[in-house]
Amino acid sequence: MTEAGLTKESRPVQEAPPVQEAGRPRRPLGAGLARPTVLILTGLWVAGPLLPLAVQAFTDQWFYPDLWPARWSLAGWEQALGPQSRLAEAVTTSVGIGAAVAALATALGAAAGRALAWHRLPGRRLIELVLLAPVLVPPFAVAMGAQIVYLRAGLADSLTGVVLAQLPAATAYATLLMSGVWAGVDPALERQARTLGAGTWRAFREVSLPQLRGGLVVAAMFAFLISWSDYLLTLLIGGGVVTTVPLLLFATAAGSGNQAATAAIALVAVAPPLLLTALAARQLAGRDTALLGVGR
Amino acid sequence: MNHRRTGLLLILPALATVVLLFGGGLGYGFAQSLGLAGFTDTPVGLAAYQRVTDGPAFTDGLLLSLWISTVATGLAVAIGVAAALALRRTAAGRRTATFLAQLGLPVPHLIGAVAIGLLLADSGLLARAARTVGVALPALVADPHAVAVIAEYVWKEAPFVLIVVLAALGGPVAEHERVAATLGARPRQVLRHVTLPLLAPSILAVSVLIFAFTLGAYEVPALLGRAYPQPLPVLAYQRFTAAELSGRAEGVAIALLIAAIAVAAALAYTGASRRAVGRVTGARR
Repeated sequence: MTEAGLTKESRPVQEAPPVQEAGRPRRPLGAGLARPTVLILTGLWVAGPLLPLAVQAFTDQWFYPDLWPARWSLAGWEQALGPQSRLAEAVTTSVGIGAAVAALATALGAAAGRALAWHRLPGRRLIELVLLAPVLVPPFAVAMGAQIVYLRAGLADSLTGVVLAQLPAATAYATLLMSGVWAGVDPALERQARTLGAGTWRAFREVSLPQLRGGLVVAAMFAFLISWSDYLLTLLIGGGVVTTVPLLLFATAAGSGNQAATAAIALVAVAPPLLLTALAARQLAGRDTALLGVGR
Repeated sequence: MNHRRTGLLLILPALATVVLLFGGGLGYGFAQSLGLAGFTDTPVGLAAYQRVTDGPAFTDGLLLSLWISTVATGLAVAIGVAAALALRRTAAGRRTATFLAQLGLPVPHLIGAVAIGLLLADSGLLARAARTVGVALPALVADPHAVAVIAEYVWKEAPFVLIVVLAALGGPVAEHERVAATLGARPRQVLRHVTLPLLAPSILAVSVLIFAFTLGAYEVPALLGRAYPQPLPVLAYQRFTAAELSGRAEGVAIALLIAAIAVAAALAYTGASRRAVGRVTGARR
C-alpha cells in the first residue's frame, strides 16, 4: 500500500461517519450488492448447465426451436442401459479403478503427510516440488512418454496399467491434503501414549488415527474423483480396451449424435461426484480449501 | 529411533510413486522426443521439435491455446473474486456459497463439456431462447473464438476461485481493512490498496492452477472445438496417434512444450506472489 495515497485522503477520525460498534469497519465495496441475489446466482451458475441434461435424458423429440420437449421418452435410457450398451460394465470398471486408486493414494498420502508435517526432512523443498509436479504438468505428457513402457511390461490395455497411470496425481493431492491434516494433530499425544507403554503402531492407531478419520475420508474421496474424471490417461494407457464411464460418454457424445443417450450417461457420470461432495460437505468445510483444486 | 530416517521412510513410497511413474514417464517421453528411445524413426536430436513447430498448425494451435487459457483464467478470476467480495460479509452467506460452489467442483470437465455443448450448440437451449426473442446467435460451439470451450472452463473454475478467495478473506485481511478504514480510507481505496493486494497471492496461485490446467486439458476442446486450428493438447494427441511412426515423437514433443509453458507460468507466479505480499504488509515471506 502506498502510504502517500492514504495520507492524502485521510481525514481526522472525528469527521468520519460515526464508527459503528467497536472496531467495525465501514462496509467494503461490493457488500452493497444484495447477498441473496448473489447466492441464488451462485446456485444457478453451478446447477444451470446441468439441469438441461436432466430434461434431455428423458426426451427423444426436442426439435429446434421448441423451448420444451414435444415428447417425453425413456428411449435415451434404454439406449444407455440396454443390452447394446456397455454402461453397467463401464461403471463397474470405473468404480474398481477408482477404489484401487483411492486406497493406494490415501495410504501413501497418509504416510507421506505425516513425514511432511512432523519430521525434519533433508531436501524438503525439493520433495515438495516433486510432489507438486503432477499438479502443474499435464499428466497426458507423462502418459504419452510412458505408454511404451506399459506396452513392454504388458500393462497397457489393462486395469493395473490404468491404476498405475492415475496414481501419481492422486498420490500427490492426497499427500498435500494429509500433510495439512497431520499438522492439526498434536505429536505430543502419541509420545504420551508411547511413554505409557504403547507401541508405535498402537499409539498411531489409538491416538492419531481417530483424529485423522475425516481427513482420510476426504483424501480417499478426492483420489476416487480424480480417477472417476480421468479421460485421456485411461484412453492412452487403457488403449480403448479399458472402458470407463468417461470413455463411454465421450464416444457417445462425439460419435452417436444421440443426445438423449449422451445426457443419460452424463447423469450417471455426474451422480457420484455430486453425492460424495454433498455427503462430505461437513468434512470439507474445515479443509484447506486450496486443495479443492483437485476438482479442477 | 532416528527421527529423520523415520520421516524419509514414511515419505519414500509416495515420493517413489511420483518420481517413478510420473518423472519416469516424463523423462522417457523426453528421450523419445529426442529420438533416443522408443518406437521411432526420428533421428537423434531436435528433429521432432523442428517438424512440430514448423508450419502453421503449431503456431495457430499455440495462439489458440494461449487465447483460451488467458481468457478463461481472466474471466473465472474476475467472476470468482467479485462473487467472493459480495458474499463475504456474513458467515451464513460464506458457508452457503462455499457449499454450492463445492458441489460444482468435482463435476468432471467432460460432463461440463457435454452440458455446455447442449446449452450453446446451434440448436441448443440458448439459441432456442434467443430465437423466441428474435435474436439470431452466431455459432458458439466449434467457432473461431472457442467460445464454448472458454465458457466450460469459466463455468467450472469460477466457483473454484470463489472458494479459494472466500477462504483467503477469512484471514488477517479484515484486520488490515479495519486499520485502513479507521485511518480514513474510503471503501474504494480499501479495496484497491488493501483487500486486493492482500488477496493477490491467493488470486495468483489460483490463476496459475487454472492457466496450467486449461493449457493441458484435452477433452473440452476435443469435444467443443473445431477441426482447425486445434489447441496444443488436441494437436499432441492427434500426432501421437497418427499412423506414421514419427508422429509419436512429435506428439510427445508438443506435450512437453505445453508442460514447459505451464511450469514457466508457475515459476513466474512464485516470484510475483512474494512481491505482492511484501508490498502490503512490508513483510517478506
